[in-house]
Parts: sequence; C-alpha cells; structure tokens
Amino acid sequence: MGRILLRRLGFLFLTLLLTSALIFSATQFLPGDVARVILGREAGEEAVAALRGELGLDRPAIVQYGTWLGRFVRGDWGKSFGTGLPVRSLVVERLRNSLMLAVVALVLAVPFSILLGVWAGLREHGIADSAISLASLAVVGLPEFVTGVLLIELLAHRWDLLPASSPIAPGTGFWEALPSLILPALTATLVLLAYVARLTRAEVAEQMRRPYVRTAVLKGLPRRTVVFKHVLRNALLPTITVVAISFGWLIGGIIVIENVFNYPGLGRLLLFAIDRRDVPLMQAIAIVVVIGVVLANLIADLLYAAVNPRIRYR
Amino acid sequence: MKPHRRPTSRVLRDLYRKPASAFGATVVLLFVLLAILAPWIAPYGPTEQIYTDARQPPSATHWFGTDHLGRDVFSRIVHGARSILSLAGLGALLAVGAGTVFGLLSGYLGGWFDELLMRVFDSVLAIPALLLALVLLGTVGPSRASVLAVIAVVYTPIVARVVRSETLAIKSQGFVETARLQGERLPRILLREILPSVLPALSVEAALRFSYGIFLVASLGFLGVGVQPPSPDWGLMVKEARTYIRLAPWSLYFPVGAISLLVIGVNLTADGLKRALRPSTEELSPRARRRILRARKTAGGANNADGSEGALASLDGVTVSYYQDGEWLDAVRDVSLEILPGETLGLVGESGSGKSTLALAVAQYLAANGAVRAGRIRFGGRDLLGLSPRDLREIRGAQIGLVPQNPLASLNPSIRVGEQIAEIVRRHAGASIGAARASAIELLRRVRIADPERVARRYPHQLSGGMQQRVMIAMGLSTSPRLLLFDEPTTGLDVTTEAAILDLVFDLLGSGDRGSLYITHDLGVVSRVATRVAVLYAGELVETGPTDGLLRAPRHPYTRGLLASLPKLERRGTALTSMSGSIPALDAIPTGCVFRPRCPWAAEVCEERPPIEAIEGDRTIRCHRWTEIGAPQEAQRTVDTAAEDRGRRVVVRAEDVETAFPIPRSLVELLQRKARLAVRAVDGVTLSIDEGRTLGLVGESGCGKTTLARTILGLDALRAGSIRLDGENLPPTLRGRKRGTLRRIQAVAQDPDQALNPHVSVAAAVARPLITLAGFRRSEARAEALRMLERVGLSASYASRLPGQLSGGEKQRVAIARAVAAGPDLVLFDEATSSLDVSVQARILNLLAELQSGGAGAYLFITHDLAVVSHLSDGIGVLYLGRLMEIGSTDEVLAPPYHPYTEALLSAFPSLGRTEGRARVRLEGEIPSPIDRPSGCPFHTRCPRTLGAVCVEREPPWRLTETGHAITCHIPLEELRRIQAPLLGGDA
Repeated sequence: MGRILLRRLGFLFLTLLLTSALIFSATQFLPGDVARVILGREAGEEAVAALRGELGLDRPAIVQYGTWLGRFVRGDWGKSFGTGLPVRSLVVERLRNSLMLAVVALVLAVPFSILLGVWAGLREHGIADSAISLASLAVVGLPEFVTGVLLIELLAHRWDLLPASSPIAPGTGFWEALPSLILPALTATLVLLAYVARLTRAEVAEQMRRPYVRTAVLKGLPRRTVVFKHVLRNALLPTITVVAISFGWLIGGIIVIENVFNYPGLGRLLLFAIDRRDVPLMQAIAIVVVIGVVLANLIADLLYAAVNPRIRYR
Repeated sequence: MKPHRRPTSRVLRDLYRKPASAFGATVVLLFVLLAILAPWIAPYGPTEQIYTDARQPPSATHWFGTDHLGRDVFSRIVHGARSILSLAGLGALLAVGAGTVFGLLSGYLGGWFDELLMRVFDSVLAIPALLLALVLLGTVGPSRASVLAVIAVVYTPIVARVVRSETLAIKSQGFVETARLQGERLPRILLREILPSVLPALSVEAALRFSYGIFLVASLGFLGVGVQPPSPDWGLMVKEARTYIRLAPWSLYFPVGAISLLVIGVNLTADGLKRALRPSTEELSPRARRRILRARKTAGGANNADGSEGALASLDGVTVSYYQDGEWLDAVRDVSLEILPGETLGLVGESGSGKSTLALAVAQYLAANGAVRAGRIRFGGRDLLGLSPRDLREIRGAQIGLVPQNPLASLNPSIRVGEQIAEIVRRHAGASIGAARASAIELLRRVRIADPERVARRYPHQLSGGMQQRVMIAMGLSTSPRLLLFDEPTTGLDVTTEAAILDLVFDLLGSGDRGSLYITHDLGVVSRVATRVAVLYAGELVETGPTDGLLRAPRHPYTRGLLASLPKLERRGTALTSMSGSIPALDAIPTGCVFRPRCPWAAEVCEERPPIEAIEGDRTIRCHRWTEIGAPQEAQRTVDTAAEDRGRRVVVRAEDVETAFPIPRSLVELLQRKARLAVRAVDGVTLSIDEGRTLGLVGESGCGKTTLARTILGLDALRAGSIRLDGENLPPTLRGRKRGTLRRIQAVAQDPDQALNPHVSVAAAVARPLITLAGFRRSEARAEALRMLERVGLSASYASRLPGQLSGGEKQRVAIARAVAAGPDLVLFDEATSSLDVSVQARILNLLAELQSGGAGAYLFITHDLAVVSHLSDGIGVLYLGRLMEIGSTDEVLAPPYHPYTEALLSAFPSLGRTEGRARVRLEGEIPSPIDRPSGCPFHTRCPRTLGAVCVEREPPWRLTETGHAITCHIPLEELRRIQAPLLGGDA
C-alpha cells in the first residue's frame, strides 16, 4: 500500500506541475500582451513598456513561470488587477462558500443515487429500470442553467418554498446559509444523481451477469445474501471512482449554478475575473480548483486500492 | 455464428427499433433540418428588432412570441439551432479528428511518446471542461472562432484516450501482428488494420462529444462568454430572458425547451448507438419474456417418482431451447439419461453439442432466454422443473453441486476463499461460524491443498489456476451432495496440473454413493474419470455405454469418426481420418438423423430420425445402420516419415537465445538505484530446424515457447545469442529485417477469431503478402490467392466472404493459406489447433502434413498437446521455464530415457487406452514464477527424481546419444534407461 501511495503522490505532483504550467501559459501568453490589457487600448507605449518591465513580462517564459510558481507555493498569489486586493484572501473566502455548496450537493446526491442505481441494476430490463434509465439519460444532459432556471420557477416563484437567489453575505455560517443553499444544491444534485445512478446501475447489472453470481446462487444462498454480500461488494467498488469523477463534473456545474443563483462562490469570482481580464485572479482560481479535483481523485484512487483485494494483495 | 462487424444499415435499423433512440434520432434530424433550412424557414431575421411588437405573446404573426427587444423568438430559435449545431458539430469533428490521430499513434507506438502525450492529456483532463473553456476564453476573448477552438482543445484529450485504449486492444490481435510480419508500413497498419475496428467505439464517442459540445456552447452563452449578442445563441437568449420572465416568459421557455429537447435527443441517440453497436445482453421484449415463462411452465410436471428405481437422477426426453429473434432454437433435443449412485457418467461432445446447456438445465440455471420445453428432470424422486424456488434453494448446494469451468471467474474476487466455502456449510448444515470455518479448512485439506489455514485466508486471485479449481471442488463437496456436476473443470489448466486434479476427482468419486455427471470434450479425460460415457452430437444423444467398451469399440459413425480423428501418441505416421462437413448450426438442424449430412454410411432410411435402441453390453445407440457398418476403416494414406536426412539443409539455427522482459521499477526503486530485474522468458535455448521438417516444441505455461516463437519472428528482441536463417544472422527486430527476410518466416497463431482482419475479404487477406512480400501485381496476386485457397480446401465461393461468415476451422485455414502463400522457408505455428474441435483439428493436421510434403517449408509447431505434436513432428523439444530439457527425434523423445519432466508430461497426458499398467508420475507443487527462478536445474523444485544438493547447486550437463538425442540432467542416460519404464505402448 505504501508503494501505491508513493506512486500516486508522485503522479499528483507531476500533474499539478503540468497543469499549472498549462494554465499559466494559457493566461499569460495567449492574449499577447497582459500589460496592454490592464492599461487598456488608449494607454501610451511608454506606460505599457514600463508596466511590462514591472510585471516581469519581458523575461523568458520559463523564468516567469518559475517565479510565479515559487510565489504561489509560498502563499503569495499576487494582487487582483481589477480590485487591487490580495488574490488569496478573495479566493479563500469564496472557496469556503463553494465548498459548502459542493458538500451539500454531494451529501444529497451520492447516497440517493447509489440506492437508485443499485435498485435499477438489480431489476435490469424491468420497467423500473427502463424508467430510471430513461429519466436519468434525459436529465444528465440538461445544462445546469436549464434545470436551475426551471427549479427557480417552480419552487421559488410558483410555490414560494425557497429563496429565488442566494446572495449570502461574506462570513455567513453554514447553518445560516443553509436555506439559501438548498435550491442551488438541488440543481447540482439532479445532474449528479442522473450521472452516478446511471454508472452504478450499469456496474450492478454487469456484476449480476458474472459467473460468481451463478456460483453463489447454486450454493443455495438466499437472494438477499447473494445481492448484499456477494454482488454489492464488487459493484460498489467503481462507485468510489465515479464519485471522484463526478466531483470534477460538479465543479463545472457549480460555476454555472452560482451564476444562476447569484451565489458568491468561486464560480462567480471567476466570471468576474474573466470580465475584467484579471489574470492573477483567474490563475489562482483555476489552480485551486485543479488542486481540489486532483486531490479528490487521489483520495478515490487510494480508497479504491485499499478496498479492492485485487490491488491490496498482489 | 456471430458476425464481427455490423453493417451500417443494420445498426441504423436497430437504432430505430427501440422507441427511445428512434425518438432521439428523429429529434436530432429535425433540428438539423431546421438549422440547414433556417434562412428559408425563419419568417424574420434573427436580429431584426420590431420595437412595436416587443414582448408579444405567441400569435399568428409571431409563433413563439417576441422578446424584450421585439425580436421574433421563433426565428431566433431556428437561427440559434444553426449556430449551436454548427459550433458543436464542427468542434466535435475537430476534436474527433485530432483525438483519433493522437490516440492511434499513442496507442500503437507506445514508449516515451505515449507516456509523454498521456501525461499532457491527463493534465488537461484534470481541469474540468467548463473551467478550462472559461480560462481560455477569458484570455483569448469570446467569439465564435474562439468557442470553436476551445471545444476542440477541451475534447481532444478525451477522444484520444478512448481511441488509444481501443487501439491497444486491437493492436494485440493476431491480424495486426501478421500485418507487421508482412512488412506493412505504419500508416497502412493504422488506417487499414486498426482504424476500421476502432470506428464503433469512436462513433459513440463522437456522438457524446457532440452532445457535450452543445451543452458547453449553451452554458458558455448563458454565462456571457460564448457567442456574443446580438447573435441568436440559445444560452444567451436564456440569459437575456431571465430579467423579463414576468413580462415575456415565452422568451425564456422556448429556448429552454429547445435546449432540453435537443440535448435529450442527442443523448438518447448516443445511447441507442452504443447499444446497437455492442449487443451485449439481448434485451428481451416483454412478449418474449412471457413466451419463455410459459414454455418453462409447460415442461415441469408431476412430482411422481416413476422411472427406474435406484437412479439418482434421470432426464426423460429433455429438450432445452433458447428463444432468439422470435424463434426457438433447440440446443438439446429429446435427451434421456440416467445417473446411478456410485457412477460417473461422462458426457462427451464437441462445441455446439449442447453439453453445457444440459448441465445448466440440470442445475436449473439457464440463461434468461433459455427454457426446458419438454421432458422431465428427476432427482430424488422429484421433478426439478416443477419445484418452487424455495425447494430448489434447499436442494442446491446441499444435494446438487456444480464445479464449472474457469474457476477464477466463478469465485467472488472480494471474499476470502475460506469464507466462500464456509458460508455453504453455515447455510445448509446450520453450523456456527467457528465450526464452519474449521470445516472449510478440513475440506481444503481433503482436496490436497497444502497449508490449508493460510490458503483459506487468501483471495482467489492470489491462487494458481489449479488451486482455484481445487477450491471449487471443495465447495462442491462441502455438503456431501448426492449429485455432482462437472462442466469441463480442467479446461485451461496445464497438463500436469490437470492430471493431479483428475486424480483427485477420480479418488473422490470412486468412493460412496455419490453420482456425478462429468462433461468434457476430451475423450482422454473421459476415459480416465468416467464409468459410463454418453456421446452428444448437435444436441442429440447418439450413443451411450460403459467407458471401456464404448471407446474400444465404438458403434455410432460419429463416435467412430471422432475417435479416428484423434491423434494418438502411439500411432503416428498415419493420416487422421477426418469427417467431412461441420457441426450444424442451431438454426439449421437437418431432418432425419442429425448426423446424416456427414455420415459416410448414410442411406435412404436415414431420412427418418432413428430411435434410441438398447443393444448388448449395456449400451444404447441411435442409428439405423449400425449393424451393417463393418470394421473401422484404416487410414488411406500414410504420411511419409522415412527419414531422408541426406541433403537437408538447416534452415533455422538458434544458439543460446535469451529473451528477457524488464520489470518496470517503481519511483522508490529508481531512487534507490536498484538493479533492473528482468523476467527471463527464454533462458538460453539452442535448436535447429531442417528444411521441410517439423520441429515440435512442447511445454506448459511459463515455459517460454511463445516468447521463443516471437523472438524468431522478430516481434520480441533477443538480448543474447543468435538466430541464423540459412547461415545468416537474423536482425533481432522486425524493423531491421528486409522484405526478403520477412518473406521467409511466417506464422499462424492460436486464435482463429483474431487471426483475420474482420473488414478484409478472405481473398484479399491471402493476396496481401503476395503483393508486399513476393512482389506480385494485384491481378496476379488475386489469382494466386484463389489457388492457395483451393489448396487449403476452400472453394472459390469463399473468396469474397468476410471472416465473420466463416467457422473457426475455415478461418484457420485462411490463416494457413496466407502464411504459406509467399513461399516461406519456415512457418511457425503457435498453438494453431488448440482452440479447434477434434474433428476440425484432424483436417487441419492432415492439411499441414500435405502442404509440407508438397514443399511448404519447415515448421516449428508449438503446442501443449503431446498427441498433436507427436503426430505431426519429426523432432520434439521440451521446454521448462525458458530452457530446453530434452530434444531429439520424435521416436527418441517418446521412448526412454526421458528427462524427468518429459516423463511427467507423458504420464500426465490423458490418453485413451489402458493406463493402469502405466507408471504414474506426478509433480508436486506449482510451476515456479519466471521472476524467481530456481537455482541450478530449474526443474529441481518439482522433480520426482531429484538427486538433492547437486540439482540445486549446479546446472545439469547435456547428455547426448549417438543419434543426437539430448537430455539435460544430472542423472546419466544409462541410469535413466534403467529406472524408467516405457510410458507408451499397450493398446492404443
């Protein structure tokens, strides 16, 4: 197990390095001239040149990357172009909000979708399975803003159950924020549900067809035992991976959801940064998100390795 | 016969069969039409503003109403369709194109290119798609072009990954390697051999990318960073309409509806496509299911106990059928059998005989579309077919046990094996947890597993194949059931392991009142284990009787043909009698006697189905003419075995060849600078093959025979030693070899299903090497190819057929024709007949002998089957753990002195005839792992004749006779001659 851990950590760092390089290159070099972007089209040449020197934009790419990486790792994430505030405090604050949303969505979605998936998988080709399959296939494709807008219409405006938008104040505690979190989380849940349920169902149905299930049945074991002791153990293994993958999905969805519900999370901050071509802010948000995704995958990988006898005992 | 590829028309038809995907496809088509015809359908321009009509509800002039700026919603939707479909479509196309190129190259070339590319792609994939899109758009600035570029960049890595994994899977298939051996260039291999087989998965992925592309464009539009206003982007429309939801709700709902409909449509289509291209489980329609249930009920019947007393289990007129495509296919027809207590009934049949179906029927575990449509299956006085699920559960495990094929798949990979046994004991004997655990350990001991306490705590994948099968047997025995069903339990096991398992089964079954049904295709095995034999052909019983009597004097023409087709160790040199024709498919069962089309004695009376007759010797037979059939015919031709060694040149000479595969080091080990370990698959082998002769190589798993073949072919590079072709050194890899050299060495592999490119016709496949290696022109090549096909017994009608339309034997013949077409000096056969039925194998072996005497070159024939190798070869080499143990002419190797390993192999080989007099030499333990080679003589860990310290410490010398027969052993030849008894001889 220790070897596996070391390997994975190695890959994690490699991935982070490459990804950060990618993000850095994309944001720093693509538009051609960051200094001009900041100062605007009307600024004079000397001013632009001066700013470039100040920002270190005339140094070779690798050096720029190295300096930036060094600073980032030490906690100096630069100053936001648009607001002049330190990027780090901005990002951390919003990160907290986004995490609250993500957690609520996952807590709602994961157990329920696993149950649904298992139920459907056990009744492969039955009416229930077809219905669930179809429904999830339909929902899984709907963009979050569609589901979000529809939910707002239904639950907030039509039936007045929940607030139509969720602009919580900075520093709001979790429980205070909860009512505002429900609708956005529900939106994310619906999409997650469809996705995880589908994959779980496929896995369960697949396992039911395996020869070892025949062996278990022919031993005379009651169906309950066959399903819960024999099948689920194997069918739920990939669920760990699926949940980790869906975390990455969730991130993308959350960006849109925060926009729909006016929720002050990382997603909205990113859009704000894009609007103003605020390069340091964009970079920081992107890196933070990627770290989150990669970490989630790592934990899933390790969990999977720990739980799957075929990997743990080689 | 499953077709390999599914023609496009069929896929499309399947797509429209299911309502869901039909709906989806129609919706997508509709939107595409709208998009194309937008400029003509839309009544207004997409950005045309009519202020006076702002925020109008749907009406005759504005079908979908107008938005806050007075723009016609319908027109904007229609133009928006154009926008989103073109962006998503083009973007997906770009991603698919780039991804395919990267994926193909990466998957095929491997190495550092693959590593680097995949690392980069994985990093891109670590960034969630929308985030990446936003970051890129945020810096480049939103516009149509940048959105397009972003979609391509974001989705290329995913497509590349999918294509790469498909490529990896296809690359290992026989026909791709054959293309390499034929000297094909990289672009052609990628495009003609690999890409066509990648297309199904690729098309599904393309549909998915299209779907996600729509998703992405809409989301970007909604966020305001995609297509910019005033363009009619649906996402943008939703964004703008939100503010006016109270005043003009239709301006929101129509775009929302359009997006939803299109996305759902594409998803349903993609899903339907996936299902159509990969028909894994046949989904049964509710009507089909009802029919099957009804059929199952009619067969089950009275619970009366009539029938012969004393029989443990009996089948009366059982017919088992499968429901497919609206009709019933009878896999087993009107079979009546009896299993008496204390008896083992061997059920013998080739593929398609229905033997597995019969076992499953008795175990009552048929596939979802299977049903016993007629007859009764009686056990313990009750009809199994009429039992309630509860009663069935009581009987299962407790009174009827099943030991299936493929033990690894039949064991739960996540539960320790001890527990898998213990749970049966707990369930049926009501034992406590502790008592059950003790029982499990005791059972493991009973199936001769050493150190049962430790093994009980292991997981299935940690055990070898032989041990896994012993665990399955232990499970079968755990409740001392009265009836045991064995379904080919030794398939896939090494000969020496198989022998030990058969010994075990024989001993266990010999005692007590237990009855069992032992199913196999191997007549040698059945002669070892069974007291009575029943022969199954195409679902019908043709003959039954006591084992000895039946095998020594078979009466039914099929049984005779089967026995005559078997290569026997004792009778070499004569051509095998082969039966013409092949086993009928389930949907083409002949009327009358099922064997009639292939029977040499068929007469008019055979057009009536013969009844089962009881004849003397406690036998039964289903044949009209058995009394008229004379003595078994002797083979017509005798293969020329007279040694004419004068003037034969040495075609291939391998000297001290070593091939090793490095074991990748982990990061930690790299840092510790640990030495690189390698698996020495071939550890110093020296042999030579003469012109026009056949050298057979035998050995069990891990012996290196396949690696040696690949080394000679150039697919794996040797790291020491040399291989000479006609005196000249062969470059170690394919790349170094010229066309002329490639032409001279060709190969035929084991799996006929993988040997041919499923998209290339038979004639084209055979013609190809003629063009690339022998320099033929296309027209000449085709003519020659047809001639070659004729030579291997395939008429001209086969020329334009695709591999999917051929049987296994026919495919293998095409592979052989292809291999010998360009006139090679050496042809390597790697287990080329191992996956074929006995009757088909006989034909192929005869063909090979014929081709060789007709000048087809030298053969290197690799197999684990001693009978086959002795039938075909002039010389035999015995490999163990990468080293030659013995080599010499066939006659010499099959007679004493034997190397102790050869002795064990011969003794283990299940063959017909009396084996009581034969010495039983069994090996202990398992084959050691090649990573952890034993010191000195590699065989010493299992050798029954080991001399002790000298075998452990020193490598044994080669000992030669005058005739060139060589054995590497510490025991001198005279000593071996003295202590070893001949293992062959006696009745064949």
